[in-house]
Amino acid sequence: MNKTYQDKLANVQTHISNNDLSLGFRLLVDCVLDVKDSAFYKAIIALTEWREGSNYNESEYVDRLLQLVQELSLIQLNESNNNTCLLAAKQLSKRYGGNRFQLGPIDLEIHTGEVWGLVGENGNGKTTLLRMLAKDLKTEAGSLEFPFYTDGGTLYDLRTQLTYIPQRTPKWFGSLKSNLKFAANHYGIKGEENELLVLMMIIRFGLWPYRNHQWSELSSGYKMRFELARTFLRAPKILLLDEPLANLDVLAQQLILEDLKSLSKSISNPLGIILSSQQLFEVEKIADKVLFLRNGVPTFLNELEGIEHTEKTVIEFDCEATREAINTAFSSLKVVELHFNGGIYIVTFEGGNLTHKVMQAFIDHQIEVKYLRDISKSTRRLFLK
Amino acid sequence: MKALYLKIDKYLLEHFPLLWHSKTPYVLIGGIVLNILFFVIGFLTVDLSFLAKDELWDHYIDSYLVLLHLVLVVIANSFWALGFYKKNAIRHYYPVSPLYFTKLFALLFVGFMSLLTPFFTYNLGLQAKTSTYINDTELSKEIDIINQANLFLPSSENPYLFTKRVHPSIFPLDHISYDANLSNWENVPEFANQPTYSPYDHPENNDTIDGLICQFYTSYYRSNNKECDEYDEDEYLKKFYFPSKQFQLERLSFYNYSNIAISQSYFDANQDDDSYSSYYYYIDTDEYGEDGNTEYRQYAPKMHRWIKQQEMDSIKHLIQDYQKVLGKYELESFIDLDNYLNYLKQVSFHPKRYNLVHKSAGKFHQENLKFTYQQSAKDMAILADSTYNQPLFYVDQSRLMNIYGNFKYAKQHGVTKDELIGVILIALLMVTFFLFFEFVPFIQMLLSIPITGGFVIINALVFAFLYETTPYYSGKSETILGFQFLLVTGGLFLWLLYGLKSHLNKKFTAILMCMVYYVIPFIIPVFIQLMDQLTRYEIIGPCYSGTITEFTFWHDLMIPQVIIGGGVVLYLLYYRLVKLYYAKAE
Repeated sequence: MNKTYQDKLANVQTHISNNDLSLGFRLLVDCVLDVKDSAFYKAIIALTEWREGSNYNESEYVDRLLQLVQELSLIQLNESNNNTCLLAAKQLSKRYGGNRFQLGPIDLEIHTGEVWGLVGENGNGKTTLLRMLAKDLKTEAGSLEFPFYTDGGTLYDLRTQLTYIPQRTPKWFGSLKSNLKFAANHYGIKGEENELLVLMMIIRFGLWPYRNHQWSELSSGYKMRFELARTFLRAPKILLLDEPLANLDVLAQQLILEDLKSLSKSISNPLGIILSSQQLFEVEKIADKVLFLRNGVPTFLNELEGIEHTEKTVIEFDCEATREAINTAFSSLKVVELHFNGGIYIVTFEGGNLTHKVMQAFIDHQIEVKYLRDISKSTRRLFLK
Repeated sequence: MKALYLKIDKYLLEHFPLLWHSKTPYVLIGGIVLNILFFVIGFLTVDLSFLAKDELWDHYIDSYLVLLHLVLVVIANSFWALGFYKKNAIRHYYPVSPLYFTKLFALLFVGFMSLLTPFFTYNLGLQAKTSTYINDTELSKEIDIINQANLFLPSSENPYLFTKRVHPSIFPLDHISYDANLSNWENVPEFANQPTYSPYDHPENNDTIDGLICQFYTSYYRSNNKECDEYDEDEYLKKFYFPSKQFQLERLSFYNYSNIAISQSYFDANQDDDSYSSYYYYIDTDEYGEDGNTEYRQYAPKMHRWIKQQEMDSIKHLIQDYQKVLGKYELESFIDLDNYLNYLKQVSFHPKRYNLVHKSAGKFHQENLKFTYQQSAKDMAILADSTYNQPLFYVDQSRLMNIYGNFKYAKQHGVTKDELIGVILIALLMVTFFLFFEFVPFIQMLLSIPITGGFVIINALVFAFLYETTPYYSGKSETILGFQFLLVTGGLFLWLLYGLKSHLNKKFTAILMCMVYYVIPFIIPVFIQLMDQLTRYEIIGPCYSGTITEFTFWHDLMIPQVIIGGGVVLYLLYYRLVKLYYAKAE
């Protein structure tokens, strides 16, 4: 369900009140970006500068955040339509090496505010699909339409709003901030607005301490954040990300995914995002839809949900117990299949929603479990086939 | 300072991204500094010694300064390029205006021009300093002194050589040798090229000098404007002299062996006349030349009076003034005035020196040379008889002339059209070179070089085949080459357009982009050359039975402005393809 501006502010207030200051601040910045008011931009920037200074005091910080929330709540925003189709692909396909590999045909539609996860093993066509959607790679069959782009411009003009961030981002030169200002300027953001908006993006993506750094001085995670900041300055309609989580630590992965989720549902500029990743669970957590590719053949997670998950429960777990002990523990359940890949067990049970019974079986048989996850609704299952 | 720089940089970045990206303001500042530096160097380079020994017009090339300039430009461009290629709007698919490359082209051109113009400012520095040594009034006065003194001083560069001591040939006398028939010629003040006058038919014009019967006239030459030979000139009679009756030739000694060293009008020469030769050789004004002739006639009566009445004090003061001029320019000279004036009395005033004409024109020059050599020998014998161990005079006149050549350059030169076109051309080449790498993938550019080379070889073979199998006609090779080039270029261009619009491989399309980029500058000149070749025609010449070639306006289009301007326009049109290329899917 799409949140309204006031909902978002209420959410910010809750986080701040619960002392989740980092999350609350980021969401507050999103609200300010929605408002597009330079006075609030300046307030956020001033607050950030003050926070980085030596006079920082947490209680005062909370007060100032809440004060900002209060001021923002007085503003009325027109909610945009969050269900506009941005991209419609029909029977999209491409072949490599004769007929050795074929991607598709794929039908998909991306709407504003949606985040799509694109998962699959290496070499199954994730990058190819993203590049095709980005118009970076030609298609062999099918059609690709961008309904938001109707002003009769050139393909180049389309690609100014159809942004694609590859896994290996290209090197850039000069300071982080100057690059962002340069990009913003080309999108018509000039003068004071240029400075303010760039600093807002720097703040939003946690780049404040690194704003004057060079490319070589940033870690992979911050390079990805820079790319995101640059992309969001462009107010894109569609954002295609190829493995944005690669080389990121777990916390950074979660942070970026949450940021993407929040930004996609921006009130002022909602956009559609497709991201490919090997981090299945993290992606599934924030994605509205998940597309699994195996040998170029697509499977949509929502299709799985409707057909299988009510009939079977699939559990992935890790423990030191022997297979005999595990079989004994599951003797009261209807095991369809027990698979061990050398590190992880994956067991499929007849019947849905049996996670609590599986956990009870481990407790009853005193089996210590290091890790357990119900993957009945996850594309993780598809990797097993 | 750094704060100011950051402030300016930020302002440019926020308001004028193209200016910030091209770094043109910084390049301009650097260029201005460089121009000031070169002006100052040029200004400080000039002193009297420089003016006497070196020439302003080629000092930039001859000196090491051209290397310094080259090194500075290379360094400046290297730093600039590092900054320039750090950002690229096209490669990131940022929105750019349709005139993006046109603006960038203009900005880069302005920047590069500022780096190249030190060539001009250095020369302007030389000229500015040179101009401080003399003003127009002084110049006119000095020229008068030099020209008048020159009547009494040998003008050769090395007075110690016999051959250099040859006095100039007679002026303005000559011997008529034509078999001509013109009645009443005396009434024709400007009779033209009619070889009709025969001295033998006009005994009334005869005069006897040292036993020889002579007639004299002054003449000049003028192009006859015939279409068949533009160099054909006709001789015109300017004035006929009755030597003994009108001018008492035996007294006009200095008419015969002196000339004008430097003409006043030399400094009023057409500014467009910027050939090197005009700065140097024009100094030795031809004694028959109109300019020297006019001034010579101004000086001659006074000089003649001095000689005739032996006004040695006047001559002495003149030579002293001349020595002051030499002293002003710190030129080496030695003139023993008293003895030299005695020398003049003995040698120069002797009437037998005028016996220089012969009724046989064919022998005239030979006789003249023989005489002058002998006369020089006599002069030297007089010098040798003197009690002095050193010559009576020594004047470094070549250096004086060098100084005046530099004055002329400083006064007239400025920046010539050809120099300006040359610098503009270099700047444009730099712009197209650097802009090329703004959008073309480097690997594809490298690949395009051997491919283009192969393409050229294939076309050369095709040309050779076409040339050998086509019957001869005038301009065959130019016509075949022109057609072939335009066809191949047109084909390449169409192929590129097809590549940009169709599923042709993007990398291959980039190579086509490169190949078209290479040929763009040649399209206009080849097209004009071809049109010129196709539209020219032959007509029967008016002067003889042969034919002459007539040209149409295409021939007149082969000028730098059209060729360079056309190339720039084509490049600007070409740049509109760049966005198509970048939007193209692989």
